[in-house]
Amino acid sequence: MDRVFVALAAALAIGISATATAWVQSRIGSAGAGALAEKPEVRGAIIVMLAIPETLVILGFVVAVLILTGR
Amino acid sequence: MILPMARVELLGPRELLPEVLAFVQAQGVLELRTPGAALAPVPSEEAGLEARLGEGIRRLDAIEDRLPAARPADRPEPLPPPGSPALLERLVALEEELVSLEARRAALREEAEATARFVGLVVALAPLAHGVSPEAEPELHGLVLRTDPAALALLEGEVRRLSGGDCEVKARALDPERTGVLVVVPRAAGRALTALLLERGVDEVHLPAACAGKRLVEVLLHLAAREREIPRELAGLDVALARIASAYRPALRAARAAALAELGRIEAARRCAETRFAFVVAGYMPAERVEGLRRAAAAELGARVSVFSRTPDRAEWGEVPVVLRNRSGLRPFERLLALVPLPRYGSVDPTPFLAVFFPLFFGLVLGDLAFGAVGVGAALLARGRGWGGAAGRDLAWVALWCSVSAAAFGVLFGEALGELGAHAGLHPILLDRRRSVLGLLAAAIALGGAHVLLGMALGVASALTGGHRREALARSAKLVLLLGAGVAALALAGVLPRAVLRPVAVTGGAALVLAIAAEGPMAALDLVLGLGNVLSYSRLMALGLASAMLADVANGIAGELRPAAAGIALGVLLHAVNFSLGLISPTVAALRLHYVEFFEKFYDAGGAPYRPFALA
Repeated sequence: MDRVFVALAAALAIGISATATAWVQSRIGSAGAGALAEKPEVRGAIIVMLAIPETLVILGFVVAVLILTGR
Repeated sequence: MILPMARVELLGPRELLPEVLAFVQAQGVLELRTPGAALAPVPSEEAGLEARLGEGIRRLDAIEDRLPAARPADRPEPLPPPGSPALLERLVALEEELVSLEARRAALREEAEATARFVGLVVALAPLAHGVSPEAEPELHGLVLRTDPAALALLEGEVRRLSGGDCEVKARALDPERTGVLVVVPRAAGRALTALLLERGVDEVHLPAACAGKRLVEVLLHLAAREREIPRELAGLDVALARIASAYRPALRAARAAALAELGRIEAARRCAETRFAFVVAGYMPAERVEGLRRAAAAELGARVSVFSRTPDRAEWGEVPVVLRNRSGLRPFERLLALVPLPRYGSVDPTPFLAVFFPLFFGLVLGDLAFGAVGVGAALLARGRGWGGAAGRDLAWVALWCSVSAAAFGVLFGEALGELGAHAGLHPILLDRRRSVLGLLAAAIALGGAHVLLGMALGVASALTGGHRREALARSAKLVLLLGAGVAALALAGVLPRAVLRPVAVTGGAALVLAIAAEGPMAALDLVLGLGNVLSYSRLMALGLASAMLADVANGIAGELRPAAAGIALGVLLHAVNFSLGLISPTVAALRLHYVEFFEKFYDAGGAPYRPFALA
């Protein structure tokens, strides 16, 4: 039973953080697409901005790994 | 590094200003700045000339667009000087001549097309005589219809109704799908017939105007003659256009360059200042070229013009243009700064650090000998072929070192297409990424800690260089705080003896107090942000692990799926997908780590690119 809870906790850690990242990236992506239509030269900045909320899912992944490895 | 610049001022008697501006423009090294507010700017008395130059450039561009390619003549036509009314008059006349020639050519082409279409129709129908009497001035109307007897009968009925029966409608199949129709009606019914055809959406094959009112045979003879003449006339027009292009193009281009240079000098004069007897031309240029400018000024302008130079004050660093100068091996990495504003003059150029850490991060994530080897091959090929010009060569150089790094980490991790490398004798030297996940995480965070600490150290140096001692003190304290947090973490993890915890806590506390004293309570928040910055480097582990796992999945499918060919094909496809992801994810992640985590600690953006006053 413990293993089920451990797996569930790891899944929640990565799942919730991935959902949060996806939501934020969708907002940045739609705003970025609008900005790109006006100023194509900001393409690079928008790619970087899109990558910023990735930290959420990365940290979620790290937490999930820590949960699964029992540390 | 950011190239040292010098503030340069040229002083001389007022009447020499135009000559000096021409000299500075020819040298092309000085970016002009308006001298101090105490001096009066040069009044602009050239509005009319400026307008004429602008109009001349517009007309020169329009003429250049109209001219065909041609070899320059041995004795080109001279043009009046740029900015003169005579040049404008000449350009207007030339443009009108070109427009006229082009209009004639367009009309001839249209006639040639109409002639070709009508000849086909008339030749097909010529044997058919018509019964409209010559007194009624018969008009010919040619049509090409889709073969449809019912539609033809309907057309004939309508034509008879319009002409009161005095008409002929002859039709002959041109091919299995099209039927040529010749309608002959008295001139009085011609307009009504044209309106009818337009209303029904039938495209009429228009007879050239010269054929109006002629008999069918005469029309045929006329068309045949025009078919022979039109190509000759077109060739004559092309020769005339080519002759104009050949005679005028060199002069037109020279006039455009001279007009642009003159406009540049008028604009530059507004950035200069003058007193009753003297002028000042001021600006910034690379310090290493000041001596060259001084010698050239002495040689060309003599002793009446003096050149003064000095190192820019800290207070004016904000307006000094920035030139990045790095060794040839590092210079391509300057391209990675294209996504952020240039560093401000007097701050730190991060290019050398990008050249070290960007490939390092990329290799840590991709970490595969086979992918690295493919990347090296592709980068060498792109560089050898010169794809993408100068930017392509630079990016290929960056890709080359990233691929070398990926291959090196592939050896350290014992990976080539995932665990396939083990079959070729590869074994993990540093760690096995797939099994030692926490070890990989620790390595990524340790690397991140070193990177962020380096950024903070650069921040301290940058603040000291800029003369901001308080800021340097706060940054030093935060650096010590983060370093202390790292040492404490190592002590708690058992890597260092726990005895270090007490001195670390005391030092950290003192550093925190110092930071708050120097920068306010928000300095405490920076410690948390700094830790967040370091933890962000765990993405190197996450992306690297994902890459290794995807390679294992590809190998597993290739080994177990039956038939074997399908498994191998799917495995190769997955490796290709992994390689593609391996090019994008590490690039974006490494750039993000630099821009957000590393640059935040020291990067002073806002530098203006160096744009010297030069000939176009």
